[in-house]
Amino acid sequence: MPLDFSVVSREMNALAALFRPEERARLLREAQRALRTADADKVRVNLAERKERYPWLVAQPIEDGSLGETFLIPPRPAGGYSVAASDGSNIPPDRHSPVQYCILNTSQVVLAYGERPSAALDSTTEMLYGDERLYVEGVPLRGELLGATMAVRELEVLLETARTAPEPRAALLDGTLLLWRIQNQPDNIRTRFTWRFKKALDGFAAEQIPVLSYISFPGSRDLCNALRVALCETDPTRCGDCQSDQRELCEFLGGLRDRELLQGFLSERQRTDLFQSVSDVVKDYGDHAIHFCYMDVGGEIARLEMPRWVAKDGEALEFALSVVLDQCELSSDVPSYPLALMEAHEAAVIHTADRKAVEALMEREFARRGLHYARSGKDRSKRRRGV
Amino acid sequence: MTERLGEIIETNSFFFVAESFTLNRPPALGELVKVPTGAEEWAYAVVTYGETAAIDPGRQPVRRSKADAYDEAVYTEHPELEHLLRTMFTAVLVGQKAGGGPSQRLPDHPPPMHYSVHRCDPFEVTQFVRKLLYLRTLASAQMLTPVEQVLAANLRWTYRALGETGREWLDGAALEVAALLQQDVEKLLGVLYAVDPEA
Repeated sequence: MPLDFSVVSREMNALAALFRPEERARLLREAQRALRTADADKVRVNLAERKERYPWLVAQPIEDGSLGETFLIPPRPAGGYSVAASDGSNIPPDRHSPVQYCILNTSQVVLAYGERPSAALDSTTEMLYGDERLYVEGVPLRGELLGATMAVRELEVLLETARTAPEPRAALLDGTLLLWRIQNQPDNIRTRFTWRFKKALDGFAAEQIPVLSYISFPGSRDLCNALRVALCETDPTRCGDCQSDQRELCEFLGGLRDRELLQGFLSERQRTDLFQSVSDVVKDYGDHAIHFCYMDVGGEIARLEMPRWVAKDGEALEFALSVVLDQCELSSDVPSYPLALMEAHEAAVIHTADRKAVEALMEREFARRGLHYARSGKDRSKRRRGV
Repeated sequence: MTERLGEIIETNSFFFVAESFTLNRPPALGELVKVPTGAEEWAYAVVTYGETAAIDPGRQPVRRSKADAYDEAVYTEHPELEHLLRTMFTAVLVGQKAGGGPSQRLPDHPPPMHYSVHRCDPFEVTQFVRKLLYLRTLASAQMLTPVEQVLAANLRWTYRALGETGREWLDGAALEVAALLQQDVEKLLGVLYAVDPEA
């Protein structure tokens, strides 16, 4: 047997013992109490005046008051609405294949509710080949670059799709609006991606289509970090010397995720205040600084990201958030997930059978032209798995 | 042009399966339908089974109703269901028309894949059911629905489709079914009770 389950089982016991539920519950209660009264203004001033960057991402408050303000999401827009959604799937270039190509499949979903309910579930398929499309500034299109390409394409397709949706309408994307995948790339590559991303965001703003991205089970810690800044009596970068009696709480927050901090803090249908992301990639977004909030969508805390204009336009924001919540309620699942995004995923996904069919077609096309379609020996041995 | 009811997605010499153009409303059990097989040529079949299921076999239908939105309202609340579910029906081949009037011999070839299934107009029904040999073909066919229920459904449907002449036809058809099922009194009684217009 290739996997030794006795080792896994033993280590799992040790892993589970690391969770100390009573202590964790006490610190979480303390953290949530602190969040309720934490001074948002202190965090904002601190972020603005500080010359040295924080070693972590900190949620930047945009309103005064406490970091723990909560708001109720309004019910489904009266008279109905429509929602456009998009998601993507790909067949990446395969090193073991004799021919290099990449396939992108991006879904286009529109669901309309109200007097004339309707649905359109479709996808658009593109095949990329040739060096100019499989390399970005000399870097091969795989890994993070392929991920970023998908993110840009999904936003562009979402804009095209949302334009066809009946008004009032909102647009929903799965994942983040922060192109973090390219943040460590050289400037020329970053510019190529952010230029297209920003242009799509411009399109949403020009047509006043509120666009949100939805992150299920978010792993971010921006709000926990903001709370640490609010609690800090000295300098948040010199934690080793800290003498504060808040030190235990602060260290606990350092290992906590925002969704954990907010579970039980938010009630169902409630959201947090809006914050601005201080991620480096946002600097290239021009007017579209990414704002976010967290929402209890029923059984889960989700993170919603949006460009600045949506965050600043109270009506557009309320409308878009009520659309998201209604979509979650329509999903009939717990924890819930927006129905339009579920269908967008289903419409985009390239199943194993389709992947195999694409390769078989390619092989046939080669054979028709008298070419030998030779895959690598390593790949062949993995497929045969002879005994 | 007669009404198109669905498109063939599985076909062989004995029966075909078609995807209905209307979700949840396949043609009636026992209904006589037809498929074009050439210029002025048709294959005739009787609907023996209907089913609505998810298009993607990997996705199971889940409960969608709420206290204030159920039955038809589920489809208003979930317009995407029209794209995710499909209704299919199976029809057993019972005859053909290839020049001249209809015959109750099986078609020479399976109806073509992806061809349309049409509704038969009352004149065609009258012409086709003049002979009752097709009931024998139906009674001996393999099907998921109990055969006596399909026979009864066809007799009921034809009786209604024929209008004024229905009663006279039904008497003859009941005698034919009685002859077919004489070895199985329970099944025969089941058909006769199920088709009695006064019951």
